[in-house]
Amino acid sequence: MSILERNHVNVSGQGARAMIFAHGYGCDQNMWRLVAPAFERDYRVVLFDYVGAGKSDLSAYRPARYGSLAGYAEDVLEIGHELGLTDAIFVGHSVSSMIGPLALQRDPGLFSRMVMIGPSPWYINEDDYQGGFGRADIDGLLALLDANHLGWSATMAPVIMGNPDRPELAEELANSFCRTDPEIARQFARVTFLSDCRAQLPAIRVPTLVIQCTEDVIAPPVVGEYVHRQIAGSTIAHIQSNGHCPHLSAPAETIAAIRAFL
Amino acid sequence: MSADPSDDFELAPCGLLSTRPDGLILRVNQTLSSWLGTPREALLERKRFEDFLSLPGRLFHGTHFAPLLQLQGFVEEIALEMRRHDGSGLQVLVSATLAKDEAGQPLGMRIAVFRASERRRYEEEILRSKYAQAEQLAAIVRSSRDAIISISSLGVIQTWNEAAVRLYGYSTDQAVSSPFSILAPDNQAVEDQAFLARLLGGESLLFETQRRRLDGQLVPVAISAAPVRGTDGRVVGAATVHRDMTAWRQAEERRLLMLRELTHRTKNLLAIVQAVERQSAATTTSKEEFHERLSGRLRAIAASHDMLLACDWRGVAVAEVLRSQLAPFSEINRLRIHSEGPALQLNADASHNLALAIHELATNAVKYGALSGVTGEVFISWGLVDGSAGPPIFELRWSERGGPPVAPSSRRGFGRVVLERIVPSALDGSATLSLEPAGALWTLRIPARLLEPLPASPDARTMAG
Repeated sequence: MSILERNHVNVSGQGARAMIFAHGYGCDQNMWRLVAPAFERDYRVVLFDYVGAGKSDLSAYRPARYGSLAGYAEDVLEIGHELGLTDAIFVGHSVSSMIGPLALQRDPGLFSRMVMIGPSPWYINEDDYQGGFGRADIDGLLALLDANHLGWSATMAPVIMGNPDRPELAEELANSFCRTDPEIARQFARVTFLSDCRAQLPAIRVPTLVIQCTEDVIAPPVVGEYVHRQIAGSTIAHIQSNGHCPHLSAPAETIAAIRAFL
Repeated sequence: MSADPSDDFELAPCGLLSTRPDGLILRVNQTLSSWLGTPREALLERKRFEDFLSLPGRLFHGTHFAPLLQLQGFVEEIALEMRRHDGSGLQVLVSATLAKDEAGQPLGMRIAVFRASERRRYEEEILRSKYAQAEQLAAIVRSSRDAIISISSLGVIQTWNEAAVRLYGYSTDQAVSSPFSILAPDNQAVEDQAFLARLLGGESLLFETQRRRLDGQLVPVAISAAPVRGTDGRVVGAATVHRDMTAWRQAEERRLLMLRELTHRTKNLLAIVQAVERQSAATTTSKEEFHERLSGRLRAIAASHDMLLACDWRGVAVAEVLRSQLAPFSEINRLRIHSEGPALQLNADASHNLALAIHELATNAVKYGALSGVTGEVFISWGLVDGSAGPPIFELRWSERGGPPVAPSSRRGFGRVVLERIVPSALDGSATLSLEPAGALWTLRIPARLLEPLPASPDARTMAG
């Protein structure tokens, strides 16, 4: 299976430069459907699912590789190299805001600009840093993942995984955008919420835009400001919206902010 | 029922609320506001649904609930924990729909909240016992000495334990997601397809076969395989247990070899007994003498057997052959029997024959020779000598001194046949028996290849006796 099939890569649009949209923890590339099409006129738009999410090849999931954000950064690198991307624009939501810089460290020519939507480098409250959560809250999230398999069950799995040639079988099922193998969901949750990425922020040298919702519980404004301060020369755009996903709740404002930055 | 239809909303047995597009609460029923312990006025247009969630609930809401609601327009049966005014938790199941106007613009959400404390507790108990069971099973699989490999209904390897890594050489990462057929030897692809088809057709199988390791080597294994069924009864994969049969095969081969050897030896032994009986009958004059000579020779054969048994039918030290045969005689003659030679081992056949010869020599020595009087002595020596222009030779000499003068006629009969013909010819060698007046001298020369193992150095001499 090729990298492009493995990560269910979709390329659309026209333009010399590429924009690669990386989804965050929880759902898949469908998260971009209100935002990405707006850039297809001027850019080559690349959408993908991380291995373990969406319609990626779940059999390619290796707990050791995806036990840290570096494994997810490898997905980004491999897709970038497969498509021959250079000087691309990386748009990352949530945890992807921290995955993009890891990929850039490995290949500095890959991206020349980055957009971080709702970034948080560290979710845990610690001394004078307010990440917003305690470790017990992350355990609580893991318990909720156990209580909400979102349509994933042992009998469903073979239907979803065993018929790659009949995607409509998976399509018909509710919650398909956020459905993941519970084991993978648990590991990705741990990696997302228990990886401290604060130290890598000052090393970011490419022009970076931080998009911050005015009311985001997961990545509160104070954290967005922290990220903005740590990345020299970065820009911050505030969007009047509630929640962690302005690309769904306020797509027009999100598109405008990205356009202004580009 | 009350006459006021709004009571159906206010007092519904579940929490109901609706919101504006920005999520702020537009309407909330009395049921929910009393569950939360918060007056309605403090909720309307000020709070959002997610404000009443626990922190883990907000994480789940932000990463799953809200995006799903946006993407597919509804969510159903999501388990969450709400926080009441007094800080206590409320386990709930939540369903929500997104309301849109005709242009597709969001109007807000409708949310229904059901209490689910009992159900959540029950589910948590099931989950806990599921994890405990899974952990127990995982511990068994981890520590198993047999390889345990599970495969999907498509024949793809899904789990691969430590024992599988040891048996087949593939790491877990290499094996998982590979087809089960990576283990099939080239000539077995067809059989393997048939095996998989039967297994996934619902049959349990137990068979022995060969599998190919990562390094290409074939390894004999016993495979026990059983289909794994989903809750609907369909076969969703299979669990296979692979036992390495290499050691068992080797033991089995050794057992067969020994069985053949035993049959061969038993036949030989009976032939020897028959010859001993015939010759003893021909060379004795009385029934008593026949009985005495025959039982003595049978004892010698028995002692030689004990010796071979003790060393598992492998080589026996020359000194040990002498000791076993001379034991009945050396009790009173210990100081009169001298033996000397290097630590050499004879193979089973040679030691058996040498034992017979020593028995004859000792019997004769006690009856007529050096050990029959009070002064005579026996000297036994052995070692390797260079065969003239041939392979090395093992030589053993038995010489008697100081006994009564030897009468040439006293050495007749079967003893002589054994010493001059039977033993040397059985061992592909030669022997001479000279009956000089000073005492008997017997010299046996046999090929050194009958030694086991072949000696590294013929100089390694040691005293024995």
